[in-house]
Amino acid sequence: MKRSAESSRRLAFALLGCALAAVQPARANDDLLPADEAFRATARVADARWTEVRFEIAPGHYLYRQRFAIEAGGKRVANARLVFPKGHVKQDPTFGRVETHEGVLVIKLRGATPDATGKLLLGVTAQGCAEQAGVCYPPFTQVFELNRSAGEWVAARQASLGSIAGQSALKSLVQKP
Amino acid sequence: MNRRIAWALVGAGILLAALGGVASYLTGAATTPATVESSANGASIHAESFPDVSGQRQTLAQWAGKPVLVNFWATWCAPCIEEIPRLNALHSKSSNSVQVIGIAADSRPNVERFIARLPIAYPVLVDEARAIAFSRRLGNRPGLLPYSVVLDPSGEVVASFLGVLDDGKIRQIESIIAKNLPKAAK
Repeated sequence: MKRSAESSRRLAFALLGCALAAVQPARANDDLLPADEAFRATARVADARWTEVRFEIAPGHYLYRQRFAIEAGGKRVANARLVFPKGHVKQDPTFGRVETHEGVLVIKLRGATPDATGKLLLGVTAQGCAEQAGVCYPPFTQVFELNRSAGEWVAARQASLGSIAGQSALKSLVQKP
Repeated sequence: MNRRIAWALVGAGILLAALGGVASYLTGAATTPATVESSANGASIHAESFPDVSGQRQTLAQWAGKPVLVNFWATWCAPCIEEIPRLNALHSKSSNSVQVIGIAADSRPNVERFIARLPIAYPVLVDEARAIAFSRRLGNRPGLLPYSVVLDPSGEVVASFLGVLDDGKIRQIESIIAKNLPKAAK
């Protein structure tokens, strides 16, 4: 009797294992992270001169250096005011020489000044891919509102504008009072 | 006796799972027709229209009556570009049985410049704002590229593919197309 119960338990585990193995291919698409989880972004005012945007890039994912666009107060920030760490340079069969970033990426932005109300609005657009899955994320935009309160900068609001369709909304969003 | 039956069932289960795994490996990460999660029916898909590269609006209904392979792509997407030669080849080899169309989630100037460098033999539609949203309606839940669907002659989604269409997936598409040809063409 005891032996029979043990057999049944083994059978149940084995069948469960088979079932899980069988459904794995169907779940493959569900395992892909949404952009704001694959590329987690935060922003902070580091000091009077520098503002930082930090990306935590999920393993197996990367962002293209050439596809970043940053706006502060509704105006595009010139590349000369941005400092990127050195990324991975590779020869892509499609795009030629490209530079990509993985892991933690901190972008430094020089001279972003708050508006008259002490608010600094940042819009950061990026684009990247998931290497193993062989898929790419459409350009996505993260918007940050940083407020100065009692002498300290705090991140008051953060929003993800998703992909391409959201980008046209960036300008109107950052111009909102 | 019961134990023998139990272990026979386990063996059969393992065999089925292994076969499923091998099939999945051979065919790529295609979603089978039974599990395609399109939220649109054939009529609403055929009613959609997008501008082509010259700005002329094209309705998908013009390709009704035979299977259509819709490929969502963009010029910034390296895996999308990798599969274009295979789609060109499929188009030239099988244009009687399938209509290949590309829908670019990109700007028209970008697509124009791209096509000047790498010609695309099949019709290309361009809609930077709506292409991803439309692909989501056709089952591309994560909204990533490249994404392709096979429509049957009535416009229903019968298979979808997220990721590069490699040679194995192209063969799978050809098999799906053969099963979905209009009766007169079979």
